Order: sequence, then structure tokens, then C-alpha cells
Amino acid sequence: MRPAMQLALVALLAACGGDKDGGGGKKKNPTTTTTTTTDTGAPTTGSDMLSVEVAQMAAGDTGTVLVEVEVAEGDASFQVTGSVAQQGFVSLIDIRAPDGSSVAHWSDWWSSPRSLMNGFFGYDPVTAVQWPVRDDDGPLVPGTWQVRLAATDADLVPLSGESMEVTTMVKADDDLGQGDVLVQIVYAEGVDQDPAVVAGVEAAVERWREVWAAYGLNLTESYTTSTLDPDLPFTYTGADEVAQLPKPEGALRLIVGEKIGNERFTYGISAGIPGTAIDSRHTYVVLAWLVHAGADGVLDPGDTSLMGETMAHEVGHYMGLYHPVESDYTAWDALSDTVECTGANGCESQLGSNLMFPYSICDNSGCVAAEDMTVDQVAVKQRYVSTL
Amino acid sequence: MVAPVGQRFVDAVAGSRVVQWRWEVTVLLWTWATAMAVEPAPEAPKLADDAQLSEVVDVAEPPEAEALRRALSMRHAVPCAELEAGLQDPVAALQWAVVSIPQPPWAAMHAAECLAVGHGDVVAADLERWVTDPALKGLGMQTLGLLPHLSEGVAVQVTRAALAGELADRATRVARDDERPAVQALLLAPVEATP
Repeated sequence: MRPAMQLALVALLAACGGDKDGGGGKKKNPTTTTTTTTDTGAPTTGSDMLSVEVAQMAAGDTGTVLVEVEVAEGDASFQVTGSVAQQGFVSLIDIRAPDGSSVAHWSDWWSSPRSLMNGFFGYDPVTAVQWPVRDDDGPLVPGTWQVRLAATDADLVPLSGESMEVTTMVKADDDLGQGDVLVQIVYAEGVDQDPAVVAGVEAAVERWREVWAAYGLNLTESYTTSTLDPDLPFTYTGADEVAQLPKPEGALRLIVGEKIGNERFTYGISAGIPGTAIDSRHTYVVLAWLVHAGADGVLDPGDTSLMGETMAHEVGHYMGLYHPVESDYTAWDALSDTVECTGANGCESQLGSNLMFPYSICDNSGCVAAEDMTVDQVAVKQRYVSTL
Repeated sequence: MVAPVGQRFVDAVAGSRVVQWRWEVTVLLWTWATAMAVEPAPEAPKLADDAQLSEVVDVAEPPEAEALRRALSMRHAVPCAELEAGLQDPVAALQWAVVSIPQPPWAAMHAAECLAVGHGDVVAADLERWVTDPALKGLGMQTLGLLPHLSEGVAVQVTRAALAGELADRATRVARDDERPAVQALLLAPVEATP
């Protein structure tokens, strides 16, 4: 984010979110609720259920909307997704528990070297807020929770009266030790015409399944083809074609292309940390298969193993995980059981086999398997709203 | 007690995060330069098994080899300019990386990409080899995808070579999409297949 934009966003958030303990944001926004609770029909364990409610809201004078989330006994987590027009941006101001206390506030995370969720930074017109994120955030007590979102324009000026679609998903889950995750794998145009690539992707998915299964995460995938550009030029902007792809409700989406056309320096990207579980222009993880094939262009078993780990890594971001340590060793995730190492050697020895470590550790004979997750990392994924 | 808005504004700006997520791409310039400076790990040169790769250049290991391997192994790649900022001889070091870092597979690909985009005129012979050698199909496909980033002379050279090889269909597509008449003109002339 450009410094000027940071300044503007800080000013905006300070203006509309400065009162951490008071009730400054309790003025109700005009709201039209258009959808009511549904069951996704996705495979579930026990009495798991995902309730979905969609409301059309109008931002107040400071560009904010106040979303109320009704939490019942047995609910494990919720996700609120705010969507504005493509030229706008949505950011999280704060989350308040039923007793009125602030449990997550932008000012606590804006300058922190630890990362909790991207929502505080207002990167996109579609922003998902997941709560709770960590075990440390405590259980989701019954009552009315409040989530304040801000709508801004491209210069981060508050959009008074802006229409924001707000989707609230609440998950009931009686067993956070086991979870089923539905993933739709979408081939960009032409990618599935090469049998070798299809075989490589399927082998990679098996590796992904193996990595997750060790932690009680059961992957259920479906495959579909599409006419999406295999250069994946929409990676940063989202695309109407993506929003129009039919998707099982609550399913995550992995789009496999040949390369990431407008960002040559990436091999896989998550559209959010966390990403939204609703259908939108920004509902995807993208993966470039060609760079995983290497110089010879052939997806051999070593390559597919790494590609499977990349899939699990990127979808891990989508479900709310950050790298345990960033590549410069000066920033970390907000989890308490991932080591806060400060240098290459220490980080590689302590975290090098972690699924979310930012790089692969290889020599000419192969790479360290990136397959470990800590208890807290698993809990983040199990708590993700569409992990049922 | 909440600090005044103005003070919080100043504090927040002064303490802004070192690493800002923008769709999870990480910026690493100074760290990379630091790593280059403090963590060289001299090793005997290790060549990839693929003889076709090692034919390309004299693959002397650069002094920054270990840091270069680490940077090229990032799942979210370090931009070429940042990679090269810490290299004494970027072209030689990247050529070494292409032939000497077989794992992870994206390491050699990213090194090749940096060579093509930033030094295409210098490594034109390498690019031509990549688009014609069936054993280097991945490099060839990537190189053709980077055609708009190559100078016109190199783009013509690479496209002409590719049109005569196994990547001819792909070369035809990218040449058709290229805005330069000299590149498009290659589609009008018959191309003799490489023996």
C-alpha cells in the first residue's frame, strides 16, 4: 500500500474507529435483509451446519456499516463478508462481543509485526472477516456480536451512503477436531486438454489430501473446466467470470492456470487472508502449474509433491493462516505456538518443515517436506467457517 | 484511556508494518541484500543432471550462491530487481542458478525469467536454446510467454527458432498476439523445420 494511502486509511479508521470501549458505532445502518438461513448441503460431520444471511446495507456518514451477528449456543465461528462496487474498498474497524467489549480493533494490528487478518488493511472491494481466529480469542459466546466495516473509494475517502452487500455466515460445529472441506478445482481454458497436466494436478491433490488428513482435515474435491484465461490475468482484480462460475455453497475454489499473467513473481495466490466463502469476483486461490513443472516442463513426482504442498499452503492462507515468519524474519503470525524466530538458520531449523513456511528448503537431491502444522494452525483451519 | 486521534494517527503511521500484505506478495529488498552480504556459503559447483542445461554457460558458482538459492526458493517469488541487487554479476549468477538449482522447480524457472526479462539481449542464445530443445520445454514455454518483454531483435530470433520446433503452435499464438510487425511477419514466411 502506498504511504499516502496508508495515511488516508489511518485517518479514516481513526475517525470512525477510535472509540475502542464506547458505543460510538452503534447507530444502525439502513438494512434490507434479502436471504435467510440455509443449510449448505455440503458433507458434514455430526450436527455441523452453516447458516447464511445476506443483507443490503447503506454506509453511514463515516462510510461505516454496523453488522450484527446473532450467535447461538453451539456456534463455533462466524464470517462476515462486505462487498462494495469494484472501485471501492472494504476494511474492518472492529469486532465487539455481546458484552460490548472490543475483541479486535484495527489500531491493535495496524502497526504490529504480527498478523491476524487482512481485513484491517482494506485491500479489496470484497473483504472477509472471520471470528474467532485463534484459540486465544476465546469461545464464541452466544449473543449479538457487532462487526463494523468501512467503505472507501480508491483514495480511501469514506463512501457515505455507499451500498454494501453484507453476507454473514455462522457455523455450528460440535467437533473442531475433525473437519470436512469442500474444494472446487477449476481448470482454466485448455489446461485440462493436456493429460499430463491433469495427471499432475490430480497427483498434487493427493499430496494435499495426505498433508491435511494427518490433522483431521478431510478434503473433498470436485473438478470443473472453464473458459478462464490460463494466464490468470484477474489475480489481483477479481473477475466477473469467476463470480459467475457455479460453485457449491461454502466450497473453496482453486483455479489452475498455466501462469499468473499479471504477476510474474508468484506461483500461487490466495485472494484473501482469510478469503470469503461466498461467491464473488474474489473467491479463489490461483495456482500456476508451469513453474511447478520446472525447466523440463514435466510434472514428475517430486514436482507434484511440491505442487500439492503449494495447494495446501495457499488454501491455508485462504482459511486464515499467515506464514509463521515472513521472509525477512521480522514479522510473524499472531499464533502463540509458532516460534518467533529471527534469522534464516534458526527459522529453517525450527519451522522449515511447516506447511506455511514461506519458502522451500531444497538441495540438489530434493526438498524438505513442508507438511507440519501446529495445534493453533490446525485450529484456525478447523474454525474457518466452511470447514464443517 | 484512548490516546487522542492525532497522536494515534502519528503512532500508527510511524509504526506501520514492515511487511504489508498485498495479496500476500512480500517485499524483501533490504533483507535480501543483507542476506546476500552475510550468508554466502561457498560450495563446490553442483550441476544439474540435464546435460542440455549445463551446456548453456560456464556455470561457476557465484559467491552469493546460498542466498540466491534461498531467494529463488520462495513460494512468493522475490522480484528480479531485488534478486539482482545483491549479486555481483547478475547474469552469470542467474545462469548458474538455471543450470544448478534443480529444486524447487520454480527456482530455475524464476532465474530464467529474470534473465529473459532483464538481460534478453545478452542471453539471446540461451533463450533460443530453451525454445527449441525438447528437454527444456518448461523454459521454452515460459520464454515464449515473455515475448512482449524481449527486444524486437531477440523476439524475432526466439520466435523464428520456436516456429521450427516442437513449440511451433505456441510460438504461432504468441507471435500473432505480438504488436510488433517484425514478429508478426514471421508468420507470413514459411519456416523450415530444424533437422
